[in-house]
Amino acid sequence: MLSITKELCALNGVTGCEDEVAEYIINRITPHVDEIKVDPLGSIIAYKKGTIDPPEKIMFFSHMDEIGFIVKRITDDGYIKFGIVGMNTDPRAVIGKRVLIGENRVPGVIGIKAIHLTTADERKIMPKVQEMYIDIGAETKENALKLVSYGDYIVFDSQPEDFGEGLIKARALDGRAGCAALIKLIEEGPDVSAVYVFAAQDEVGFRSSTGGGPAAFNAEAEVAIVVDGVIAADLPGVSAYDRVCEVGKGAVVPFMNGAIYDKNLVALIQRLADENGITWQEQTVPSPGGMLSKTIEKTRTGVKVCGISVPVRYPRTGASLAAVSDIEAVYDLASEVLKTFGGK
Amino acid sequence: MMDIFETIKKVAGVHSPSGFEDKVADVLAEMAAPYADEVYKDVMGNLICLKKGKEGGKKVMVCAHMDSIGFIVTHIEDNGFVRFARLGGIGPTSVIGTPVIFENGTRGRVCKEDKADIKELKLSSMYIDIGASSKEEALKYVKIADTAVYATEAYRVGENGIISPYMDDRICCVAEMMALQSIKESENDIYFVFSVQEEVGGKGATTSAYAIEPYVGLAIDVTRTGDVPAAAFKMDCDLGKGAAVKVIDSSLICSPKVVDALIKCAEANDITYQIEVLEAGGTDASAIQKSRSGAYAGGISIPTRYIHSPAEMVDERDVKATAALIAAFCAGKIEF
Repeated sequence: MLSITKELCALNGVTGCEDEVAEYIINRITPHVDEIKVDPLGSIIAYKKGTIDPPEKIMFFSHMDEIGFIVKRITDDGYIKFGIVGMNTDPRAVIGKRVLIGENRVPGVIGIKAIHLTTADERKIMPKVQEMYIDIGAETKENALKLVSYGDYIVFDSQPEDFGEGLIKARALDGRAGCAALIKLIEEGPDVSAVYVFAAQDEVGFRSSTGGGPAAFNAEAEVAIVVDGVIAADLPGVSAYDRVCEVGKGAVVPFMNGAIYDKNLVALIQRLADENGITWQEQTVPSPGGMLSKTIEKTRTGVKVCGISVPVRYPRTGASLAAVSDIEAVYDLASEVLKTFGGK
Repeated sequence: MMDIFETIKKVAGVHSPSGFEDKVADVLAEMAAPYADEVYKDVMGNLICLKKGKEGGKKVMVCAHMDSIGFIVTHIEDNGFVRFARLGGIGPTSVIGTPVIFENGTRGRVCKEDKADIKELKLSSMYIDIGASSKEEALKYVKIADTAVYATEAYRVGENGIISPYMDDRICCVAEMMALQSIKESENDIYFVFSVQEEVGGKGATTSAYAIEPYVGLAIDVTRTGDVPAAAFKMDCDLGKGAAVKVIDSSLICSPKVVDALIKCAEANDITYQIEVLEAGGTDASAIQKSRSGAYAGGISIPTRYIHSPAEMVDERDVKATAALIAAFCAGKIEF
């Protein structure tokens, strides 16, 4: 599980440009599934037929994309002005970070007006992305254009590593941990028919997941288990009920997250966790994200939605943290759910 | 003829906040069964009652949502106080001191933290006091994800007024039911939908409209009024002045064909009506309008004061007018 997660998090897959991640997933799952569709937005929908067909068609849903940036403009003196790709990205978390630009992975660093030039009032306000730039060390616009192009995607320069006691540090963890669990489910999970979705373009869209909607429409299942990351605010000074969940305390089984989850499915998942000794926790803040669930639920004539989530500290930054044991718990629980749908 | 007060008292008293509408659906299904040709629930839990029409008629969907706003438990503190999140649009200041009841009958009161600033009050600084003195004691009565609703009563006021929690949108469920019960013959196949999860984003209407594929769809919902002192929105829509024919709300611009047809229908049948231009508030009509390749959409609303508070007020005459307009429009010939 750790190695799949690490391999996935090493790949670049900013929203709208998930090709590297998609290629990895397709190569890896092709030998194990019966049919793979890639929809026009780039989502992968894979069907795996098992020896048992559950009475209700079930899909496991993850997303491949990560937040990042895009080259918008280059100044005459060779600095790159950029936009954020992805919702809920905190501008405070990007200042001073190293980044890689485009397919050639040109290194750069995100800069902002020097502190001695700012006023006391300016320092009280959160800086805007419009005031930031990426420095790639080019002296002129012409020189910069030899290295990067308008529209190039930009990612944090951050490679996955083992971290502390049983943790992993990486960017893109919140979506890819879910992808990793689904890949393992396809490779080693129960022999029960299911659909597996790896959605593209989830991190954009104001009211719904741009890629998740069409993917769910294509997958056409009656039950969806969303396997995704969820923010863990288990930090000093945060009260128990504001923490959402805690890293290392097991799989998160929310009762609502964007959507109000099907109460029978939630009860089933919690019971399966208890019966199989899988560590799990409640989500104390119901909807800190949940765009996928919200979107899937309303597809066609409706889908019963629930979720199993991986607690992730600092999601949507260059260095997110998750516990390997939590990702494993999420896999174990998803596997038990599928087994149960197949009538065990 | 249905007694409006007794019926709203019964229907609004059922514990069914957004996402957990099973109980109210059962109550409504029982009321509809003798009058509808088919009664069924779908995946999301929408209750759909079909009244069949003549050959060659249109498919008409008429939709009132049966979910209510409410509270859901997120955390229980060591000293027994219950932290919660909202299901739908609960305004922090309008629920301070409100009595609430959980599905299992446990009662409590919504409180704000003593030191919390009322001007910037957030639900995270609020809690429900169920009278428990420890977490252990509280857990005997409630657990995480249990839901609570307003425990306020329904009563009559003035000549024609009724106050009740959850007029939004159970009074429209009642009006829809009155319409269904009154229709003897219909030109069209009428799908009376009692939708789920409107308060959290028109979800039930979205999926039921996809399944039904209506030619024309109406949302039956409550609307604000302009007849209270210093109303936040200037609006010529008053309690007691009849069924409100929706022209726009913040979620849609109604099809002019539907608006015209509703007005003509009201005039032809001597039904008191007024025009509704609603600046703040959305309805299921937008979900119907955008379903598949689109549907003609509109709405008939019941003017309601103090929407989303624990005591909402309607005028019985408006309920009757709304029921009459639903029945006349849906069962009549659709000329567009």
